[in-house]
Amino acid sequence: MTDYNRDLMRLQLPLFLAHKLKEISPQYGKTVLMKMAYLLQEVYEVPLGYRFSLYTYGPYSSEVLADLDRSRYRGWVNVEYIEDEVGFQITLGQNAATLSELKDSFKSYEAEVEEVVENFGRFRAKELELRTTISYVWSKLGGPEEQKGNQVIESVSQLKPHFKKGEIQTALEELMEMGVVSLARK
Amino acid sequence: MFPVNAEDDRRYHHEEYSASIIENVFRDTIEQHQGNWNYDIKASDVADLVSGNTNLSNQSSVRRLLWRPLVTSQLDADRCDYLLRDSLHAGVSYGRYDLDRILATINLGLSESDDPVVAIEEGGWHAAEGLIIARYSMFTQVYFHHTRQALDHHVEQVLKELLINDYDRAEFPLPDVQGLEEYLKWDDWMVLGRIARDEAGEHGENIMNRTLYRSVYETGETPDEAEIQRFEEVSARLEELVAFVGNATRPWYSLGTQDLMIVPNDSQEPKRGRPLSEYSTIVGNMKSVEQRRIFVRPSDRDQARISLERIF
Repeated sequence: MTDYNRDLMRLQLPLFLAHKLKEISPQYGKTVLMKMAYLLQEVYEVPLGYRFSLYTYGPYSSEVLADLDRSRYRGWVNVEYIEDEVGFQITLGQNAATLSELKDSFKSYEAEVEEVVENFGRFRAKELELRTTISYVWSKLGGPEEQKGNQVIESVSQLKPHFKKGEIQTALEELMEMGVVSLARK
Repeated sequence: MFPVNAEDDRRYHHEEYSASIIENVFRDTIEQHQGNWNYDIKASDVADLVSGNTNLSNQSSVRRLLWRPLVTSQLDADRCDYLLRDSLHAGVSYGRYDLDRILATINLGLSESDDPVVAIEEGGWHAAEGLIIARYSMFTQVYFHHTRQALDHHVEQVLKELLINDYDRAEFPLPDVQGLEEYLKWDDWMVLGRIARDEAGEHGENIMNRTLYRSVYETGETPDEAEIQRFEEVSARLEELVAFVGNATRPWYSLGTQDLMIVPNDSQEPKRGRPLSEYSTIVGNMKSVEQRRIFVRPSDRDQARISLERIF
């Protein structure tokens, strides 16, 4: 993939997801975009070229928001702060291309995007933050897989004390069932 | 110019070099320092905070992630420092802002997912606005100045030339113990000395003789689609006259206006806040700088101008 194509794909990602998540996501905003980009790149190996690192709010790359800014200024998406929802909402902008017009940029990765949308599109920002944090922590911890679960729960619980250990365990089991945790890159 | 990390097949990042320098070169300075006797801060703790390589099986290391935004975020210490420092050394005032007010009003807030984030109290939002305006001015007036951009290109080419000359490839040594010793030789004195001794090829001569590449065509600071399209056409028409294209779309030009969270004053417990762009009309209407420029060799400037006159 050329730098130009990757740049275009990154610029179009917020819009592409705005189309895909329109009827599905209860809260498509900056956090959901960030976590979707993480899952696409780190779990489903779509080469977006972002550099994610861990913060208390999960895996994060400032480049994702920089690209969202660029997409917004082209009028491809609107980014509005919704007071009641306590967060930003991303919707289609006045210059938004249609889904079929965008398909060229994503044609090699359509299956991956579909899978991410199907598996994670229904989650709220907070739920996605938990799941991507689990995925990140799992990918970075060494040791035998059978002992890893408890360690992941312990670390995520330290990182996000507002989640009960039971909630973390349920989310981890769900990700294991999907095969997502074992896929995340080290 | 950083090499690829064989472990994950990605290029090393400058922060990984910083972390390695802290761990390997500054270890004794940090761990033996009198001021550290009560705290027992290890060099590896500092290095982990910089690189983001948290030891996830160590609970205190995980909890320390709360402070990572002070090292790398839109409000990190480096960004707060370099605007003032660069303003002073460049002899301009664009980068000045009220750092004292920022420090007096910095606090913790909660993100939309109830995670703690570094924020500014309501009483300091004008200082936060001032910081964003200072960053915007420095980007447009200093960091993205056409002469500085040309010099950036020449220095990059000089480094490539020198690296190939020394190591047969345009890459710095690895950030491991052996590589680091070699890497640290690449300071300003060494590179400038080699440019002065005519060891740095054509681009070294460009710097020495100040025959820098010239900007002959540019877009506005925030070009729309039509302007970008026009730029691409001009670039294609000038063909081989184009020495390089400079653009400001790299992430460090992002103003990060919406990352700054404002929280209620004197909040004892972290509270959810609102983004700065909701308080400040100026910040809310700012656009990322995406200016593009076409540079040509000084000897091609007249020819480029004639070609541009034909195009327009």
